[in-house]
Amino acid sequence: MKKTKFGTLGVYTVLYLAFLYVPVLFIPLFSFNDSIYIAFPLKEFTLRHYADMIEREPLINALYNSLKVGIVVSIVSTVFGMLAAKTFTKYRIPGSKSLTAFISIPLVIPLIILGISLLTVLKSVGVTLSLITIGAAHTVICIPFAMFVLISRLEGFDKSMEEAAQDLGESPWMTFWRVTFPLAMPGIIASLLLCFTISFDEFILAFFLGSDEPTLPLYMWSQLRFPAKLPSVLALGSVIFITSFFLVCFAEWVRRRGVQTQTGSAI
Amino acid sequence: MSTWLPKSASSRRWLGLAPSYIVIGIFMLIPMVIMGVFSFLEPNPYGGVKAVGSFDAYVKLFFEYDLEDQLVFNPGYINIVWRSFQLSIMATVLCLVVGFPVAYYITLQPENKRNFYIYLVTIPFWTNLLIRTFAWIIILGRGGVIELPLQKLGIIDDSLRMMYSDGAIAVGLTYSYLPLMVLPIYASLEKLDFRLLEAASDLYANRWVTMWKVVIPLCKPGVVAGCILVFIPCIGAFIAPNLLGGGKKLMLGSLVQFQFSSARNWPFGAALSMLLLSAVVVSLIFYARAAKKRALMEGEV
Repeated sequence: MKKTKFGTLGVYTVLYLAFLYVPVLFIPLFSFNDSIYIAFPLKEFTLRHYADMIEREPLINALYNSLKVGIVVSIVSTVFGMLAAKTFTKYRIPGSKSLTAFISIPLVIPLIILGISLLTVLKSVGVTLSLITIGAAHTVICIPFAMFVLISRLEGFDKSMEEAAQDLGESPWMTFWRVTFPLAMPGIIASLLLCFTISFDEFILAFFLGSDEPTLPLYMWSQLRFPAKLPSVLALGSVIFITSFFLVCFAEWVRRRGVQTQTGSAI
Repeated sequence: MSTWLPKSASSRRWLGLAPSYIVIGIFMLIPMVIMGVFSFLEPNPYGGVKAVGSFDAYVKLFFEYDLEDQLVFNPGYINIVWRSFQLSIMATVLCLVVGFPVAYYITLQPENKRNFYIYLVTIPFWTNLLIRTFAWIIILGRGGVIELPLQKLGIIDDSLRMMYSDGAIAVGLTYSYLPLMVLPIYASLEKLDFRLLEAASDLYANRWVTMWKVVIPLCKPGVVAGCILVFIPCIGAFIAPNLLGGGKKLMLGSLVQFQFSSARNWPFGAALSMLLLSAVVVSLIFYARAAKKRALMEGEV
């Protein structure tokens, strides 16, 4: 029916991908350049910016903060997302469309509004800003992602497996633990990795709700003003880029493999 | 089972939704409502608000008091709002023009290849926005990737001054949010019945006419969704205007932030946020209408 030809559109798509990928590749390129100026022509190859990066204590602290926030946020959002996804897939809830719409509101609210309104309220109530306030805001934006990833996983498999377990005398909790949970595992891992990446890379909410304990993007932002420190920021940026890249690929791979086993077992 | 849990299954099923609803309610909805209330109060000179109702914040959007305490029209803020809209619309249109052919190309691929392409398109989106935007400083900046070759070849001798301009911001925004345009368009194109295209060509429609009269009307909901998904983060953008606009070319997002930091005028900042929020709501209404139309159309068929 459809023919795939590599005509003008194909060439265009290649150009498009170049437009997408070339700019970000300048970051690692200059992180290996032996000069503090971010400009062509390139000087010699060096790893000193990476060595520089590792030795810097505030950077390591910022990394540690980001990891803490990211891990807690991904676990909390995945648990909450799982509960919501389970509810939507297990029961026929009247008005479930508008109920899911509510959970997806954070996807369409500009982050700056979310950040500032939360900031004003927390300040008025007298809550001190910390990693916890950043984490709370990140959880809000991660829940919809977690829920949708998990719904797509849970929708796929047979309810009869859970029913069979219950018929065989398992308690609801044990059914969840021994049947639902293993079946949903690929979705859970994908959701954890996705939420972690979102939190780890998020800047605007952290910018408003952060304190003197910066997360990694905040630290990078503060270093952008100092030209001498720029190359090591680029080194850091490259490391983050590569790490996020692999995390997202891994999340997708797990999710896919899950879909395959699922269709496999259905036969 | 704990005794405080609702007994009936029908009420227990709501419990699963409770945690998400509570988190989103407490940390997003309530703060946004409070922000709405703040926009109708008077500012406290040291930051915060006084519990005195007033419309001053909204008046300030358009007017200022001159030396004789008369209200005069002040286009300053409206200009910033206007520029934010212009830049966001520009970035949205750029995304649409750049992204649509790619989405179309992906739909033309065999099914097993499509996922791979979608994947390629989304990956850069999952990396730090700060880094992605910073890359454009390297490209557009003085002596950067674009300027240097032109200077070496003697085509230009001065800097092109591409950075710190509206154009730089628009390019940065386009680059940041392109995948958000490609994905929904792809999703609606994927459902397109390609026999309709054959029918069109049998009826002597050329490719452009087919595109314009068949493909585009049928994937309109995807196009609208894409435009909204791009427009919303653009109108509230903060990183691109700061890094690529140099902070001189203010956009709505930076202006809001300024009111809560240096300017210490919370009600005005809140009023600006409400303006931003209403832009979001209006575009969502557009989307809802497009989606409804589509549903109706499908219902008729």
